[in-house]
Amino acid sequence: MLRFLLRRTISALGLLFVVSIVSFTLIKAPPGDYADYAAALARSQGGLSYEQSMVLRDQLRERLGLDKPMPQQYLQWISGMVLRGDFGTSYVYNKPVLNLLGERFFRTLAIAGTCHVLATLIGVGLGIIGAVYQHRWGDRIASTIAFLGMTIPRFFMALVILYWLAFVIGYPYVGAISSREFILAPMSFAKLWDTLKHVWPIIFVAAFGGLAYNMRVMRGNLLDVLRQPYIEAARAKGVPGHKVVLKHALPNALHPLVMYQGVAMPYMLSGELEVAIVLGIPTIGPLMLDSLYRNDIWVTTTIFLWLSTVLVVANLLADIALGLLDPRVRQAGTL
Amino acid sequence: MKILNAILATTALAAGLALTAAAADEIKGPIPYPTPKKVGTTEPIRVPYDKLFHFGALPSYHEPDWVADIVKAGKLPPVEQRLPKEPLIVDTSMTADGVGQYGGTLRHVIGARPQGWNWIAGQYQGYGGTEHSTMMCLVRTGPMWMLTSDKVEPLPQLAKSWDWSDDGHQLTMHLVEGAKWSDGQPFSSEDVIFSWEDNIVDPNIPAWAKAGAFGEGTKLEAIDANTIRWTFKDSFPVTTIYQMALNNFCPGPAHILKPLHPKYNKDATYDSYINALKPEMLPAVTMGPWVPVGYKPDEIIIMRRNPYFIEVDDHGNQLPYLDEISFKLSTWEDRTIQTVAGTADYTNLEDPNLYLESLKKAAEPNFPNNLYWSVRSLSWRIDFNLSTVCGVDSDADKAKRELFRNLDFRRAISQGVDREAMAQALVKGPFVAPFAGGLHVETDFFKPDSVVYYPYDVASAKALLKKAGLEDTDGDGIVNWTSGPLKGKNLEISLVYNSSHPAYPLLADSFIGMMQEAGVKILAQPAQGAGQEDINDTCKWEAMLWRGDRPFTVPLAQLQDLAPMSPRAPLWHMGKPEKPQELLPFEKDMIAILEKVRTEPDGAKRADLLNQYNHLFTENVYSVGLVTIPAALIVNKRFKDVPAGAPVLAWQWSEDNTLRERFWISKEDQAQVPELMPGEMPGVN
Amino acid sequence: MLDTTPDPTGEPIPAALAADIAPAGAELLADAAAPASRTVKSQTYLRLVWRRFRRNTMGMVGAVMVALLLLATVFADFLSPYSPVGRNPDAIYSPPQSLHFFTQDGFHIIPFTNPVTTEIDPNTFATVTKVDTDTLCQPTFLGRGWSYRLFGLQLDRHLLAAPDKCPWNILGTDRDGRDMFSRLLAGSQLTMSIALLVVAVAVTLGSLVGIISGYLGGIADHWIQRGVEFFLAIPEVPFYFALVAIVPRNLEPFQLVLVICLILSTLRWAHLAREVRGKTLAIAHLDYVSAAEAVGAGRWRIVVRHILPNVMSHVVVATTLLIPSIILIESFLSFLGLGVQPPMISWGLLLNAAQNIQNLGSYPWVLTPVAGVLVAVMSFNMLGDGLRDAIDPYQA
Repeated sequence: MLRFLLRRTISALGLLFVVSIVSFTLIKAPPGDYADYAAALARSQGGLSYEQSMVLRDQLRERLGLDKPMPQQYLQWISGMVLRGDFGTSYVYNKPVLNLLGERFFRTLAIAGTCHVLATLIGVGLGIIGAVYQHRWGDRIASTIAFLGMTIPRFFMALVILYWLAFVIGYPYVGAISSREFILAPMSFAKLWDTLKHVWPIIFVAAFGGLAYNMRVMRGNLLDVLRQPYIEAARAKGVPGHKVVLKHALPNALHPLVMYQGVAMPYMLSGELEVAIVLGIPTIGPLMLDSLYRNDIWVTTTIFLWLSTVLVVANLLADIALGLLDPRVRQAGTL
Repeated sequence: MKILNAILATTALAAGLALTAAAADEIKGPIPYPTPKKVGTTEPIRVPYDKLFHFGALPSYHEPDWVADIVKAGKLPPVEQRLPKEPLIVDTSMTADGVGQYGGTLRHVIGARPQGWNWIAGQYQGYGGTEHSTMMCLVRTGPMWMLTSDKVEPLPQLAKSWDWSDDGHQLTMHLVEGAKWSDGQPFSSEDVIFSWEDNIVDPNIPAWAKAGAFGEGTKLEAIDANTIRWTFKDSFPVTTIYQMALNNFCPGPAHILKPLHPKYNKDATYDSYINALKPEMLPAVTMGPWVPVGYKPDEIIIMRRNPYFIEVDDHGNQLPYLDEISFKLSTWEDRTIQTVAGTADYTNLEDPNLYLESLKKAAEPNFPNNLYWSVRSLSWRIDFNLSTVCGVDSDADKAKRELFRNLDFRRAISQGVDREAMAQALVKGPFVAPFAGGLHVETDFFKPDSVVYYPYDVASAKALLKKAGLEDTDGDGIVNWTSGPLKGKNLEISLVYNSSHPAYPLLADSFIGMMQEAGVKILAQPAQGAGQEDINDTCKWEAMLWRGDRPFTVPLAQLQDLAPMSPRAPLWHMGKPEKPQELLPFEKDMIAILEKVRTEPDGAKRADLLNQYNHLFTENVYSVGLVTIPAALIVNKRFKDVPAGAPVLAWQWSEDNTLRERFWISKEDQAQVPELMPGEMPGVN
Repeated sequence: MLDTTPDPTGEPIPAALAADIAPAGAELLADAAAPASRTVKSQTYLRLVWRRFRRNTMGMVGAVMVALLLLATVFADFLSPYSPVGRNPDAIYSPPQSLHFFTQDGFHIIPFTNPVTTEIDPNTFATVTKVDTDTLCQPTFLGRGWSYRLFGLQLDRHLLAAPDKCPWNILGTDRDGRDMFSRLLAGSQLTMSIALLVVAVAVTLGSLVGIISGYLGGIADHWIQRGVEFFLAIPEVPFYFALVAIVPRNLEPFQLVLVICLILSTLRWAHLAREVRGKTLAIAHLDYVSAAEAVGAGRWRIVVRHILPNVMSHVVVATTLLIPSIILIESFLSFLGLGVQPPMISWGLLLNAAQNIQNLGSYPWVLTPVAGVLVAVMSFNMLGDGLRDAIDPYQA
C-alpha cells in the first residue's frame, strides 16, 4: 500500500507540473495583459486621455515584467513557488497571490464541501429509496426530485433566486459573504449564522444539482447488485430486508460511487462557481473569472493549479478507497 | 414605432444638406434631429461661483461634540488650529435642507479593489467614490454643473486663486495657507512640486497624468511655500486649468513619500516606491474629507472624518458632517441592487438593464431612496476603423479601411440602423433616445440644429452601398464587393465589443439583425477586458461597439480624444508615433476648430465652436451613433442636502458632483444605520 | 457477477429468459397430447431488449418525447410560424398571447389570438397590456409563410403560417420583436446538434479508451490512466473560460460552433473512460472471460462480444446523462456570452437574456428556452433509464 501511495504521489506531482505548464500557456495565450486592463480602467474611471493611458500602460508593463518572454515568466513563477512558497503577485489587488487566495480558497472549499456532503447523503438516500421501491411511488418521487435538480440550469436557478431575493422580497443578505456589522468581527456562531444567511443559495443550488447524479448512480448500481444470486440467497436465508440492502447490497454498489467522488468535487466546485458568479459572492469562482478578464495572470494560473490539486487529491483518495473496498481491483495489480 | 416626429424645426441648414446629400431620389436626406424629452424634471438650484466655494475666515468654528472631547483630552489641537488660516467655505444657504448636523455614515458599494494609497504614483483606490474621498486637487471641476451660467470655471480647491501674466504664458496659483494633512503635518508647495517633478514629470512613474497633459514644454516651480507658477509655451491655454483636477493633479504627501522615492532614498526602487503605501497600511494620509482607517480585502474599506479637513460650512462648522463612510467591495451591478434593496446608500444607475426594476421598486411606497434622473450623458456608438497606417496588414484590410473612409458607406450604415427600435429594445419606455453620434445632446452648450440626422431607411442604405461600390451580385441577400481584392465576395465586417456588460451583446445583436436586412454581414467578435485593450492598441479591428461618456459630455476635459490631434488618438483613427494618420478633409477642419477651442477664453464662443465641431461630426458620420441613455442618482432618503439634478456624469462622476462632504443625516435618522467604528479618530485611536 | 455460458451463436442468453423459451412445466405434466412443436426462434438480443423496454412506462414516455423532440428539431422551420430572425419593431417585448378556440361562431380547430399592445405605466413602471378583443388573428393551416430550406429544398409552407399583419405570438416576442416560439424551435437545432456531436465524440473515445485500458492492463493501462488523469485534473469551467479566450473571434459563426464542440469534448470523455475502466477491470478477470481466452477467442472479439455488452448499461446511462450536461454547459457558456454568437441561435444564446435583470422582472417569457432545456434533458434521462433497465440482462 505504501509503495502504491508513494508512486501515486510522485505521478501526481508530475501531473500537476504538466497542468501548470498547460494552464500557464492557455492563460497567457490570448492577446492583452494586465497593463492593458489598467489602462482601460484609467480611461473610463479616471478620465485619462487615450494617449496618457498608453504611457501608463507601457510603464506598467515594464515595471511588472509583463514584457519578458513567456518561458522566463513561467520559470520565475515556478521557482518562486517551489523555493519560497511565493505564488506570484496579484496586480489587481496588489498583494501576494497566496494571501489573496488563502481566505477565499478556504471559503470555497468549505462551501463546496458542504454541498458535496449534502448532495452525497441526500443523493444516496434517494437512490436507495429509488432502487428498493423501483417503479413505485418512492422511486417516482425520488426520480422527479433528481430530474428537477439535474435539468434546470444552475445559473438560471441562481438568477431566479437572486431576482426573487433582491427585487421581490428585498432580502437584506444579498451579494456578499457577510453583513456589514460582521465584517470586522471575529468568527463566532452569530457570524457563522450570518454567513449562512448569505451563502445558502449557493449550497442549495449546487447540492440540488449534485444529488441527482449520486441518486441515479446509486440507484442503478443498487439495482444491479440486488439482482445478484447472493442477494437472493441472503433473502432466502431469511435475512431481514433492510439488512440485505444495507449490509450486503450497499457496500457492493458503492464502488462506482466511490470512484465518482473523485469527480464529484469538481462538479461541486463548478456548481459553486456558476452560482457565485451570478450572485456575486466572493469566492474562488468570481475571482477566477474576474482575474481572467483582467489578465491578473498569477491569480488565474494559481487558482487553476490549486483546483487541479484538489481534483488530483480527490482522485487519489478515491483510488485508495476503491482499493480498500474491492480486493479484485487490488489484485489486478494495475493500480 | 416609426420615426414620424412632431417636432418640425426646419432650418435652412437641413434643407441645404438634403439637397446636396441626395444624389438619387431613393436616398433620404437628413431630417431634424428628434430631440428627446429630458427624463425627470428636477431643475437644479444653481449657485453663483463665488458663493459656492470661497476661501475666507469666519469668527468662530465648530466641530462634533465627540471630537471636542478628544481635543479636551489633549489628543488633538483645537479646531481653529487644525483649519487653515482661511478655510474653504462651502455655501449651505442655497441648499434644500440648509446647515447640517454632525454624525452618521454613508454606505457605498464599489466594484473595483484598492491598489494602494499612493495615488500620485498612479494607484487607484477602487473608484466609485474612493478617490473623491481621499484626494484633493489643485482645482475642482465636479460641482461646476451647479454654477450659474455667468461664470462656469474650475472651482478652487487647494489653489485658492490664480492669475495670468499679461502675455498669457505664466499662470500664478496661490495655494491655501496653513493647511495640514490628516496627520497634522503642514501642506505646502513642497507637496505640489514633489508631485510634479518626481511623479508627473518622472518618466518612470505611471502617474495619472504625465507632463504632456498640461501642454508640451510646460514648467512648474514654487515661488514660496504657498505660491506656484506655471510656465506654458502657448499663450493663455485656459483649458489646461481644467486638467488640474481629479485625477490628474492631486498632490500626495511629500513628507511621507519623499523618503520612499528612489531619488531621495538609495535603497528604494521605483517598484518599491509605487507599492509603498499598500491598502493595509492604515490610516492613510490624505487631504480629503475622510481618511481610510479600516480595510478588509474583498469586503470593505472604512473611512473616518479627517480632523484637518480644510472645508467648513458658512456657519463655521468644520466639514464633513458625516463621521464615517464605508465602501463594500463587491461588483458594480451589485451597487445598484443593494441600494435599491436598502442595504447600501448610493448608486449611479447607469446600467439600462436595471432601470425598469429599479423604477418599479422606486414607485413602491416603502422605497428607501430618492431617485434623481440626470441628463443623457452616456451613449453607445459604432465606429469603423478609419486608419490607413495602423493595423493594416493585407490588401483586404486596406480595401476595408478605404471603404470605411467613404462617407457613402458610413452613411449607409447609419441609415440602416433603426434607432427607435434599438432604443426600445434596450429599455422600453421614454428613457433611451436615438443618437446620431458626436457630442451628447443634453449638455449646456448643445444646439439641436448642430446635428445632421440621417433617418432610418433601408432602401436609402442599399442605394448608398451601391454608390460605394457594393451590390448583391450573387443574390444571397448580402452585398458583394464589385472591385478590388475582395471582388465578388460578400461584405463581412467583424464587430468588436465588450462581452462582460449585458447591454453590449444586446445592442450588438440588434445591430447585426438590422445590418442583415440592409445586406451587410456582421460577425460578432466579443472581447473581454484586456483582450479588447490589445485590439484597440494594435488597431486590429474593423468595427467596434463601445460606450462613450466623458469626452462627449465635457469635451473640454478631453479635447485630444475628439479628433486626430496626435498620433495615438482618437480610438477610431489611430496612427503610429512614427507615422501619423492620413487625415480626411473634414478631420483637418475639426482639428482647426478644436485648436481654437483650446485657447478660447470666452465660454459662449467656445460653445459655438463645439457646435460647429458637432455639425462636422454628424454630417460626416464620423461615428455611427446608436442610442443615448440618461443615468439616475439613487441616494438613500436618510441623507439631506443631496443636490437635486446633480448629473451622474459631467466633468466628474456623481460622487464628486454631489458634494458628499455636505451630506447630513438628522440625529433621529442616524440610528437607522449605525457607524462601524464610532468614535474612531484617525491617528488618535 | 455474471455466469452466462457462451452459446454457439455467440449471443449470451440471459438465464432469466430461459423461461420464454422452455415450455411451461404444466404442459409437460399433463397427459394431453404432446404440444405442437413450438418452434420458437431464439430471440435476438435486441428484440429481447425491446420487449423489456416496452414494459417500462417511463422509458417509453422518454422515447416518445425524444422522438418528438428530434422531429421538432429537424422540422423546426416548418413548425415556426415566424422567421426566427425576423425583426418587428412594432411588437417589441410583446407578452404571450392566449390562444382561443371558441368564438361566437363556435369551435375552431386552429386557435387564434387577439392583438396585444403594451406600454409602460408612467407612474409605477409596470407593463400595462391592452388586448384588442375585437380582432381575431388566425393562422392558416399549411399556409405559405417565410421561406426556408429543408433537405435541400426551398420551401415556404408551414404547419401554421402566421397571419399577415396580425400578431400570433404564443410565447411572446423578444427585444427586437422576434417571435419567441420560432426562436425556441430554431434554437433546438443548434443545441441538439452540439450536444449530439460532442456526446458522440466523447462517448466513443471514452469507452474505447476505458475498455482498452482496463482489459490490457499492465504498462499500457498505467500510461493511459496517467493521460486520463491529466484530463481529469483540469478544472472544467476555468479551462473552458481560458480556451474560449484564445479562440480567434472573427470566425464564421458556423466554424465557431465547431470549435465550441471541440472544446466541450476535450474533457468529457475522460470521466467516462475512468468509469468504464473500473467496470472493465471487474469483469476482465472473471472465469468466463478466461474461458473464452483459453478457447482461443481473439482479444478484439472478447472486448466486443463479452466486455462491451456488460459495460453497455453504464455507457448508456453515461451517454444519456452526458447529453443534458452538454446542453447545460453550452447554455452556461452562451449565457456568459462566451459560446454561440448571434445571429446563430441556440438555447444557451437565448438564455443570455437571463443576464438582463429586467427580463426576469418584466418580460419573463423571454426565458422560455429554459423549458426547452428542461424537456430535452428530462426526456433523454427517462429514455436512458428505460434503456438501462432494458439492456441489463438481469432484469427480474
